Amino acid sequence: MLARTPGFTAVAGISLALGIGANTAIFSLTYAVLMRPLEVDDPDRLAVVFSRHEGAGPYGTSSYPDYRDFRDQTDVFSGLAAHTVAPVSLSGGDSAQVVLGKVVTANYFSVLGVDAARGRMFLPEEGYPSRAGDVCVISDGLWKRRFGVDPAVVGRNLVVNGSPTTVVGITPEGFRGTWAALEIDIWTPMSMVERMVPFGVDMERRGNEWLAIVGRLKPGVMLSQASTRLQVISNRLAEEHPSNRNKRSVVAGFHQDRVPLVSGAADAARGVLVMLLAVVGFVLLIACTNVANTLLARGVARRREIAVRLAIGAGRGKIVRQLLTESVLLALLGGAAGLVVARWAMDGLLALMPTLLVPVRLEMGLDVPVLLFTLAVSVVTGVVFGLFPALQATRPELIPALKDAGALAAVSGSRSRLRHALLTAQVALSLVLLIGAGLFLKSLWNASTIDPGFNPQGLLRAGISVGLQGYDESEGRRFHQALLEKVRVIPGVRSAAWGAQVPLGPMARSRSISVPGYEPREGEFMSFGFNGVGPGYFETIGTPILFGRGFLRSDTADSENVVIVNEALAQRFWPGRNPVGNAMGVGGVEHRIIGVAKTGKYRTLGEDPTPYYFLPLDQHYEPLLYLHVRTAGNASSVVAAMLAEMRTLDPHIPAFDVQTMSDHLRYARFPATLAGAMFGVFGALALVLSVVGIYGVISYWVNQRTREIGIRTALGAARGDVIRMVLRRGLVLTCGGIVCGLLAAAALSRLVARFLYEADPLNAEMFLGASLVLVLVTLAACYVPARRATKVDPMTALRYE
Amino acid sequence: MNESVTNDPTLIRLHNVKKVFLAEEVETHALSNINMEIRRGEYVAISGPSGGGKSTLLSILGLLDTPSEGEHFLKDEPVENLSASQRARVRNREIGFIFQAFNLIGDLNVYENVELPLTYRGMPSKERKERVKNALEQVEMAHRMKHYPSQLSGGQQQRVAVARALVGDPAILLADEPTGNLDSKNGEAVMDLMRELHQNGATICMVTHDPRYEKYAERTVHLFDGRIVDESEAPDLNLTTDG
Repeated sequence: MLARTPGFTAVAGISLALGIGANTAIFSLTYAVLMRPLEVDDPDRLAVVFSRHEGAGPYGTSSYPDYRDFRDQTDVFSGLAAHTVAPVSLSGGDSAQVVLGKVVTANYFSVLGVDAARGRMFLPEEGYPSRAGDVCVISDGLWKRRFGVDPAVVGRNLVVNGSPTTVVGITPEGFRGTWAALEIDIWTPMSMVERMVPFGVDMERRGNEWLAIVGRLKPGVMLSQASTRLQVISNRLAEEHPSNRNKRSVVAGFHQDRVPLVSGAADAARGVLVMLLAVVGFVLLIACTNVANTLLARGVARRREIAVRLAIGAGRGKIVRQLLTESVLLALLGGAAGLVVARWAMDGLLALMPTLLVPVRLEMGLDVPVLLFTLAVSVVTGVVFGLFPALQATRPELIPALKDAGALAAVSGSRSRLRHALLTAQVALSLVLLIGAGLFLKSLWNASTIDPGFNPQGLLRAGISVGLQGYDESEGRRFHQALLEKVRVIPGVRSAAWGAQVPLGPMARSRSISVPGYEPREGEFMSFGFNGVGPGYFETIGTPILFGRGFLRSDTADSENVVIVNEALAQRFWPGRNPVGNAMGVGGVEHRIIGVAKTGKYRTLGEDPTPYYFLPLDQHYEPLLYLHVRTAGNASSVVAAMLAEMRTLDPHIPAFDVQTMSDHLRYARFPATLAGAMFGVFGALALVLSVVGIYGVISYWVNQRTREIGIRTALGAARGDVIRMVLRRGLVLTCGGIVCGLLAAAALSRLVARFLYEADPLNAEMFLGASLVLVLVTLAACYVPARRATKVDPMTALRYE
Repeated sequence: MNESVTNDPTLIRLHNVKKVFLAEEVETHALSNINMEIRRGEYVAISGPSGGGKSTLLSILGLLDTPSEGEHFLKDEPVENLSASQRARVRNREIGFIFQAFNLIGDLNVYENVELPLTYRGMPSKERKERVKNALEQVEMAHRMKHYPSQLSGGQQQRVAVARALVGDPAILLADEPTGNLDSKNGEAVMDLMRELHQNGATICMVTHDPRYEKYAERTVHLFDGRIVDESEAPDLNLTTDG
């Protein structure tokens, strides 16, 4: 049957290919980001331990002493390991390279159940607090890329952050640790922490919470048991250390629920991916309604054949099975073509990815789980769009069907209602997607016009870590000042300044403050984001100082401690007043407020005005800094000169993350770009599928009513009357869908509000505009059948008599 | 169409009308040299065997089709060269059709079916309502106004179809085998209704191949192979069938 109707098969196949292909691509992305199992032993028994502070996120980290107590005082884990991520400088020859590394407890690999592919993993005596030697394990990827699969690399010394470190092992192929989306290339034991962690940590301070904890549950132990046990210990620790360890809830969650992203990011990603899966699900449903409607029409055409089969004794179940087999076969054809569509879509998705600060690898592909998903979706799709038409087709009124009489009322009421219901659903789904597309494109526009709080034009930044090269504070300060002086005189450079963090970057730090005279409410979270910046920072990045002044070279360790707050923080604690001159406590030390900076965007472009403050680098040394360079023209043009100046000072210090701030903003706008692109593409796809659907239904309606149109023409209906009748019919069908779609979109808007940048999810203009587009599209889709209807010759239509 | 009343008793005049169908380069002469007149208030039957050209002639009279050659006058106006929209307008105002298969629209109720020709005139709703009511009362179907065609018997459906033909107060009623889909009892009832309409002044032209019903007409035109081969006057207009 499919081969005998190639036109139908092709149109239905293409509709399904687009729908199934879109689903396959988004599932592949979802699988890569959230579902790909870790390359570890029995990942279902791995648990992650989170500390939850009141007012902070749910995925807090822990201090080393807390980790040690959890490890030593619980009996629910067969092993508990701690780890953190750190950029690592690998040098050799004349150049240095920054890769992503992890500092881990010595039992990290044994807890994960991963053995070395070559060499060995860490020995217990290589872990903190011993100093048994500088050793590292490298990834299979690094071994292949940098060492050309040289087996002799095990046992060889690498220069890691400026010091020789012995490679003791190579991880198995595919292993990337517990955050599988991050491309980790090197692991070192916690004993090397001082050299590995650039921001400096105090291993024995309980307030220093920087470690992620992963454990393997003992056989038979439930997560809830583990959480209860950890909570008991946490409560006891809070009582034992009241000065530097507050109360918090400590919970264990399955690692599989969070992989392979850093915990907090997984939730954000999950939200976006669930939304995208819903969107492509809608597209597939629209494709299904198209095919179902066509099958219903074919059911009418085949009713005589089916009636004959039923009349000669075929069971209804047998015929339903035959029809379902045809629809499933069709869906499988669509699914096979959908794999090609998915491949293109994946390439498109990867092309959308901006350059990230950390190496992220999304292993999207048509691997076994994705193929199984496509197969399942295809079969379910075939049943979904085939079942109702099959049931309808096998319920004909036998006698009229056999006589082929009653052509004027050929379509039974229920069949016609089903077709109209399908069209209504299709229009409603399309409208939801169109409104979504409009909202997200507006959001993308807003994201590209939001003031980030700095001027990205002609601004460049480069990450430089003197800590990785083993510089102490005084050496580091000398290097920073020398490089600044050299860069400032490069032709084309207007100004340059240091900052510890890049606005809208993935890393964020916060620290508690106190305000004299302000009594925090119970549970009020007094920790706010901050940045360490040098003299000239605000002028360089283009953030206005509204009151007071910026940092000067005279703000040194020997002078009064000073701080600059942003407008939002000033408004919160000194509403309606100029806070310059007031005191503010940071880390228990009093600081004088010397300026108020205009509030910018610090974590995301969509964030509300957020309190934030700035500390002078000369009073708060940081070994890992970003050099911000304001240029007169093209920011990229000074990169080579800047790196050359840096090499003259020290050829072994690597620069990483060298990027113009315009490019950096692409990263910040990525969620808006992704959502805008996805909704735009899928909204357009839905519109095209709807046009096909509306055209099909109205064409069929016109065909069914050839005689009626002939009668009307005989009774005096003019061309315009016939066109109006068909268009009215199309609009009546569409209007039902539009009303349903508007209600559905209004209900769903709440769910997408958090993904929008300054766009009202109930924007009336968007709702009206999208409805109008659908009305126009309906009129266009109906026009061709309407024109055809005017060509109905009443003689021909009535001749069957 | 000129609406003015003239004294000319001729309502329709065909002069040397031919109709030729071309199918796969084969010419079929459906009508040849048809010359006929229908006078105002006349009841004409067109009879003949199947394939004789009866329905083609009726289609031309009803402006559903155009002659290949010849002249066609309605109320003294030539209508053979009218455009499709002009013909639609004339059909709507001057011609009432009664079909063999009733051709009521299943989605519309009785009232809406009868109202249909008036909606194409842009007539105000109040006037339409009045006219539809009168037309349905004429055929004794006013009590079934809200019913749908599928809820009516064949005879009732045809009465509604007659009401639809009458509602626009056309110059002529064209009936194409109006009893063809009815049993004899209902067929006679419809024929009685048409005779009553004629007695009240309606001009009727009916195609039939049933000799019993020819007798209801004042005059019968016999067609054979697309030609008029005979014309006969009915001896007694009050004749009733004895079936």
